[in-house]
Amino acid sequence: MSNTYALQARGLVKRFGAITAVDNLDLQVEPGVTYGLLGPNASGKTTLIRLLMGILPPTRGQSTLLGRPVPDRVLRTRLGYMPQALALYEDLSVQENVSFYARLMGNYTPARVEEAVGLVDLSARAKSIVSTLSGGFKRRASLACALVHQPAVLFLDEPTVGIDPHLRVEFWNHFQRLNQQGVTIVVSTHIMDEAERCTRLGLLYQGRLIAEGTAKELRERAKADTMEQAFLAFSDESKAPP
Amino acid sequence: MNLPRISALALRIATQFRRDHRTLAMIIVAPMVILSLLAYLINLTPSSMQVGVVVEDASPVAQRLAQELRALPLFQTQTASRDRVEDLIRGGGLEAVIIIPQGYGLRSAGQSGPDLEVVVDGSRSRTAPAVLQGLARATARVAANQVGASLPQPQVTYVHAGPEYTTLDYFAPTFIAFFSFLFVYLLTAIGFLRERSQGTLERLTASPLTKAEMVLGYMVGFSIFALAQAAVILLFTVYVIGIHYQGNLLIVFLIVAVLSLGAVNMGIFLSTFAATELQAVQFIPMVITPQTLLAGIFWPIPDMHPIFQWLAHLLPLTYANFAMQEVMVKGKGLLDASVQADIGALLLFAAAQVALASFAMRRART
Ligand SMILES: Nc1ncnc2c1ncn2[C@@H]1O[C@H](COP(=O)(O)OP(=O)(O)OP(=O)(O)O)[C@@H](O)[C@H]1O
Ligand SMILES: [Mg+2]
Repeated sequence: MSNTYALQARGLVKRFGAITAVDNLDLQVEPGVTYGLLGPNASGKTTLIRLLMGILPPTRGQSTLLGRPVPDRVLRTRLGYMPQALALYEDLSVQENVSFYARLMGNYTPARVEEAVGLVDLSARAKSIVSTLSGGFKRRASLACALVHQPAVLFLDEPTVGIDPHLRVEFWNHFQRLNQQGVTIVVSTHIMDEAERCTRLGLLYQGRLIAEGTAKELRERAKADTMEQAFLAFSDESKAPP
Repeated sequence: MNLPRISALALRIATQFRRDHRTLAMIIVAPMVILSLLAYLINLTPSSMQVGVVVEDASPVAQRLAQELRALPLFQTQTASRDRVEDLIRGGGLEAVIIIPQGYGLRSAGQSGPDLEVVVDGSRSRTAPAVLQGLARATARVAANQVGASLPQPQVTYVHAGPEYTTLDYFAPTFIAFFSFLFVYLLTAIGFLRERSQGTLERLTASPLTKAEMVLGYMVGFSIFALAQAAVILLFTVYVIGIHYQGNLLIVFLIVAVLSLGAVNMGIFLSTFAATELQAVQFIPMVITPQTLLAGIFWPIPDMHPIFQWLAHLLPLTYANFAMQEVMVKGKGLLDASVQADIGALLLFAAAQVALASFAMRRART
């Protein structure tokens, strides 16, 4: 496999009993881009992210991250992960949560923690216990935990659920800045205008990658005006094979 | 093995725990309450029992016996007649009736005669043994008096402990170990369960943290509190309750630390079988209570059926009990072979739990 990709997967399969969550999937992601995973519920987005990070062993197939075969423990300090669930310690403060993950990743300085908390606009609530925060603020804290150690590859599983439009725009502006610094982002989403902001998109349907390209390419190929229509067209097409 | 990661985990657990004032109070206050209660109950003096005495014999021996029975501090005696015995026990408030039958005096003269008769209320567990004990004491007094001697007072020399030791002094050391074991198990099991259900375990999995580091971090984080708990309970039992002990209290700490090592890993292991916090609590009657019964605290292990003896020797609390007795009752040190063997057994248990915990973690992950 080539080293020019930040991330590369070949023939990935993940089965849970009778369910095939990821079905013979090939994927390449260039460094410094935002790659969007688009797909309905249960299409395998979360499972694919787990496979790519190497925290779930695939049934078949293999992948590399930053040129190294997955799983690789050493690599993990360079990965950031924001799971779909909040994954926060509710009885700790925002700052304590962020500090914990920074220490775990071996990249702790008080300044870096402060910066990550500031980035998600939570500085005023840094000392608040997580359980006392609103749902959107908790999401922000969760993102700060994924960013604090300045990872090279960032996996975000529906990061903007429950976040107000204002901050959502800020998040995406920040993702763009991270891209410019060379950070690769893999993000799953249901929100179509977020999809428009991804460098490239992969449409997932029943564990398979049914279409791939830039938002513009996908729209043109489907002869659709919006991303939503394009997505529906592609999934109809794969439901009824020619 | 990465020390900063382990200490990050330990620090986090300690911070979470420190903030949980109610649990903190519980792990300190509950053992104090239980031990105080135990101290009080164990030293309880039994209340006097109502005993009827029927004297049908006029011989001096029979009269003497009746006199001695009346003089027993435990007995509140009243004179009764044979035909009312059952009524008096059923409704008359008597716990027992002792009948000295006609012709009893002949026995002491070396001839054949009727024996004493005792009727007891069988509904109370203490009655029969207490009445028979009292009766034995009274007859011994009568017999001794006849040959003109007082009751024998053997001179007792103690090799370990001493006459001032009460039952509590034998129980308390093991209870200290028991409380650490219970709380460390419970806190780890619930802490780990939360880690799974709130999704943070997934984040830990995505970090460079290894299973061994995770187990160690948990152990250090909770052991700090287990040791603090042991210290407070120990000081409380020694200085407030005033139990007697020998030996070095630092060795007691070592035993508690090694025991909590096993408890942390048992907590992680068992938590992978529990889906809710309630289920983790439900393991207590299954896993903890039988250990307390079999550990040799209340009933001696050599008296048990070989199967239970074998089982007892698989349980960590048994070795903690042995070690605590060796150190706090017999005053032995770390150089003693049996203390070393007990601590070794506890380490072995901890190692087995580490293996089970990491196996279970792998199972829980995929
Ligand atoms: N640990 C598991 N055990 C059994 N089945 C699983 C497991 N994880 C995922 N699945 C199944 O795999 C399929 C894909 O799930 P996945 O969570 O990847 O979907 P998703 O695209 O992330 O959905 P959503 O948009 O709802 O988050 C589903 O059918 C799900 O039930
Ligand atoms: Mg998902």
